[in-house]
Amino acid sequence: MAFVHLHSHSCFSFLDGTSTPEELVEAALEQGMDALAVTDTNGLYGAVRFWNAARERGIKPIFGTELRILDDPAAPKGSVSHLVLLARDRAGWTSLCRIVSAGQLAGKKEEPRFTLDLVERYRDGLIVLTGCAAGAVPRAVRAGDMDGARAELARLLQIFGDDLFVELTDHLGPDDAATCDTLAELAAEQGIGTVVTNDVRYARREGRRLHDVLRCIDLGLTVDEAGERLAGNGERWLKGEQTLRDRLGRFDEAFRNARHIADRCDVDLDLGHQRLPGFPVPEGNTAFSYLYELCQQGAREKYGRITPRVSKQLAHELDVIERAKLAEFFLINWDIVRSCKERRIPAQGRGSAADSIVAYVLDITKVDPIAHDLLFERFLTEDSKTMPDIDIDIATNDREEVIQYVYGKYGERYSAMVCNLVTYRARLASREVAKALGFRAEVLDRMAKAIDHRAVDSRAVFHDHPGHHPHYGGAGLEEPKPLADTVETLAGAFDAKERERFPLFRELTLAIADLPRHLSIHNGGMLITAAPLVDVVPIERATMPGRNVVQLDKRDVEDLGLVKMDLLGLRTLSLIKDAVAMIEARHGVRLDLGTLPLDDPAVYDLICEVDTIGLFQVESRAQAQALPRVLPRCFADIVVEVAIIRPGPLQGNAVNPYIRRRQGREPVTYPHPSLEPVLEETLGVIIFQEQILKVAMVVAGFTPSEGDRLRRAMSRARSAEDMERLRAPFLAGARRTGVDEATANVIFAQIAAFAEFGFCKSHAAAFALTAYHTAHLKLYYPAEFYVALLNNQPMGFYSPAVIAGDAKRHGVRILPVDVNASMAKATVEEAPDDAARPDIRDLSGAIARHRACRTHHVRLGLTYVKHLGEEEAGAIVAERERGAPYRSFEDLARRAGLKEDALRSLALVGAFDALGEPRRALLWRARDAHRTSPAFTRPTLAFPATEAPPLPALTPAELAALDYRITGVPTGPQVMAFYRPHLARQGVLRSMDLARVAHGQRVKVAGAIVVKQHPETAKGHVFLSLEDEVGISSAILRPATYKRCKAVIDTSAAVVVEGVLQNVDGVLSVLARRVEPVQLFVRLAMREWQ
Amino acid sequence: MRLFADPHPVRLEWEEGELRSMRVADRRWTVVEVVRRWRVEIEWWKKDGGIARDHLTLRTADGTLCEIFGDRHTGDWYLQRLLD
Repeated sequence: MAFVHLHSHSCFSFLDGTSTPEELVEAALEQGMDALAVTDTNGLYGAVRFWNAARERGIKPIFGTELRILDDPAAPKGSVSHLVLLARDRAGWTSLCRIVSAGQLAGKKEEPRFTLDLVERYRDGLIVLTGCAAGAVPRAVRAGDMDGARAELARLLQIFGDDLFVELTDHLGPDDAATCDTLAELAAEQGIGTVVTNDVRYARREGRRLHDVLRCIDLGLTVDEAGERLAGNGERWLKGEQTLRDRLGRFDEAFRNARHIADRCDVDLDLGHQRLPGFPVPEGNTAFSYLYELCQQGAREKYGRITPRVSKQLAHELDVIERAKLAEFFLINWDIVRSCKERRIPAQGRGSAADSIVAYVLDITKVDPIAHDLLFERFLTEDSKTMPDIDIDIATNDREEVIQYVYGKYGERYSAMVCNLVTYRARLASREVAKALGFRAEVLDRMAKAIDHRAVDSRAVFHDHPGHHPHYGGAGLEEPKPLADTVETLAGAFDAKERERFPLFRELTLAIADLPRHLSIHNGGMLITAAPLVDVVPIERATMPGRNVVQLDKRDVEDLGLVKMDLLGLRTLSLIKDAVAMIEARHGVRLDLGTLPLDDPAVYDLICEVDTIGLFQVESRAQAQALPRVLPRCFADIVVEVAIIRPGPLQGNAVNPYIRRRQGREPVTYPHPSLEPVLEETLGVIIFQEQILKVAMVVAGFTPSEGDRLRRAMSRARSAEDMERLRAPFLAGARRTGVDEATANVIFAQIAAFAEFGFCKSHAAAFALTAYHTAHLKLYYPAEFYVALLNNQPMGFYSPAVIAGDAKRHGVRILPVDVNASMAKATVEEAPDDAARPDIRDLSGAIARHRACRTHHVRLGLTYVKHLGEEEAGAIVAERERGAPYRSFEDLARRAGLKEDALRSLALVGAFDALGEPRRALLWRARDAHRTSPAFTRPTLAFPATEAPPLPALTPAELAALDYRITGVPTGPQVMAFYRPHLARQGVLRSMDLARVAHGQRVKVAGAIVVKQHPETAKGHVFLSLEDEVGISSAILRPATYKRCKAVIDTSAAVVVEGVLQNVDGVLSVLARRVEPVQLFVRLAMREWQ
Repeated sequence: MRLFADPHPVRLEWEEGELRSMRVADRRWTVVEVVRRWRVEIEWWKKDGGIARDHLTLRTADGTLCEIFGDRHTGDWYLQRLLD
């Protein structure tokens, strides 16, 4: 073995490298190399992926970075020279982390400040190379400044001594050979070793085009404009030794030095031994003894009487935890949840943690794993190589408080948020590639819009390309199919240059897909380390002021064996917290949702009626289609319901068989008789991840750990070959247990299809519990529920307008914004039941029978008003509470200090109606009123006040239009009510009338498009949810129909759909044949979902 | 120095991988040294595939320095510059 590349950039040099670490590793292997260094710019972003890929493929990873060192650290901005650092050992890794972190934190986001002093300070364990053409020494040589080059080299030599090497790089540029000769002479003069590198930017020769395009994206230029800022040729690929020797063979020692350096470098990134930061326990306790005590106490509280099964499971889990040395990990999580409870912040563990009875008795999770027959091994196995994952959902509005608690507890030197890697998706990729190729701005917009929302993955847009993503196909998964209306249909809009470059656009957009674009802060992942953070991982500034972020993502941190907490914001928990507080204030009932029995028939009635708008997890269109067919009547049914409407079961063809079996239309069968105990609860169909483990245990004789490893491996498999590697041991195991190969293959295909997307049962159960709680709130306290729902937008599936419509259909009035009644946010307000309002009638079933009160309604908050932010809304309320109710429009203007736009919005939306002030006249007076406000700062421009002439009152339609325009929430009739007479004359039915029509009849139905959905699993079908004044109807468009009607749907807020009524088990939908626009007088918000 | 507006086609003659001579029209020049070699590949996005050339600076037996380039699209070589 000889030469090793010591200077290579991956795609984690963001817009200056095109290949993933995996691709670089493959290329190195193809060139017969047994080691490789990845030296991304100013960071170690790709280090863990590189480490994993190198270990998997059996080559030695060498970790490094190329820094952009400020030539003059005193200057705020200035020229930089490049320097490559390689970690020789673990101390070198720590040095890399310290240098990268210190330089990143010394500057601004994306403008780090690295200095040579900084590198000198942390040079322990590093080998230093002089860098590419932009290094200080080669740059001086190229400029003909030999004295300068000697001086730079001497300075570096003084700092780094024998660990310094001069890079010799020849990219076949006109002066490269001569520069290498000079550099070699200078190195020899000072007794410094040389090393051949190629400053690699792409694994293979063909990566050059993409590299040029990435550089253009980074520079904000087109390829035509970039000129000499692009490389003069395509020689920066990972070349083999012989190719390099053709140019640099005269520097034999520099080749041998590359080998020697590679041999000297040896870093193992397994940091697991220093992962736990330590948790303070009462004197006389160890972490484990304290955990044990807490568990015993918690078990008594949760179970009362501890049954042998509880006791046995608890003992087993504690045994595993003790042997895996994870007691502190559980204590850290327990402490976070405990602190939340103290602060009355809703928090609960989700995911596989709910499989653990220890997590349950510590109150980290809320689902009883014994009652729901959950499988601990899905969460943690004794020989697990990675830390277990406990995700904690926290009420979104309080999450920051919890993060601050963790920072406070462990210190900012030991805790930070992990990053989220933002990668190129189809729309961004197409926009940026097209821009770099010189496509015109108007064409860019049209191209981005033409890429259907469904096709967020460019693989779907360009599926016919031979390089389509290998993940699909071999794994038994359905390959994404493009809709016909991709960018190709825009060919007519292209000019000659764009037409000519379209093939390049296709090629490069495909190539850029999934490459990292930049980092963002992960919304919940928090790393806590035992050693100071910067000794272990690199960190940098986040966009959020004052916050730092680790240059590694969740999976990286997990792979390093470090402790990561997932503190996720869940708006539904904020909804629950707000609603519970209002119920206590209004009704004097202090709800403890955690103690609610889960067998309330009325809750199941509500769900079976599909009265689920606003309910967690069961409100979507797909759920609305499934609920009447599944008809959940117990908590376990909701768990299945939550788990089943997912890509996994849909792609694994599990949904319809389950429903047919539940309805008794299909016999319950099992792929093999031995699977009956495993799959009985789901009628023979694989629905939960835990079942994969159990299937592997039963069919292939795997241990729980092996079963979980199979599940993980399947979920990470990227190719048919990966999947085949997993198949063999499964089939071998099946042979040993006596399952025939054909059956074993069928079973393998079923679990493979499901592995990536499925829910674990414990996760579904945790979500189902929250779903149940939201159902309870909506059922008994609808006004409080709707208020909390509106105050925590955006969340869920529907817009505020649809939520308001749902409230009105439950007899809950939406009271308009009122300057003397509204608070900043929506509130519950008591008002007499208004039976006279035809648009506010309780049409519901379960809620009408069970609601606690009929006189509580929703008063819209001031922040819903356009041009009013939280500050202005707060000012209005504060001034009212400080002084007295507002007496007039001018009174508010004078006291609250609002700008004219805000005053106009308040006037138009009727916030002064209760004062008897006509809206049009107020509008006339808004300018003059504004002049009396403290916000008016230009008195010299004042005009004389004028009186409004007599103005006509607003019509009901105008009032509705103003609601939609200014708050987005109609307080009067839903917009379709204004069209009803006209629609009725055309034979268009209301949504509620469809129930009276026979299956197969031709019908017309109309509504505002409130949801448009393109599920990947629906083979090109598109689903519309249409809201009218009495409810929501559903329309299905086949691919051909959608193609024909797409323009109408894209440009119309409301439509008439003509088609055939389908009634499947009481689920009504219209299979569309024609779609006609309805020209509305209002603009509506539509939510589009995949 | 002579720079040709229209580069002259040349034929290269190799022996055992070494460039021995260059023929321009009727004249044959013995190559004694390849002084410099570089590669230019630019404007690949253009309709004609852009410029892709290998450039060589050669010293001939009579002491002339010749700059030739090979078009990587066609494989043809041209004399671009003479320093005699």
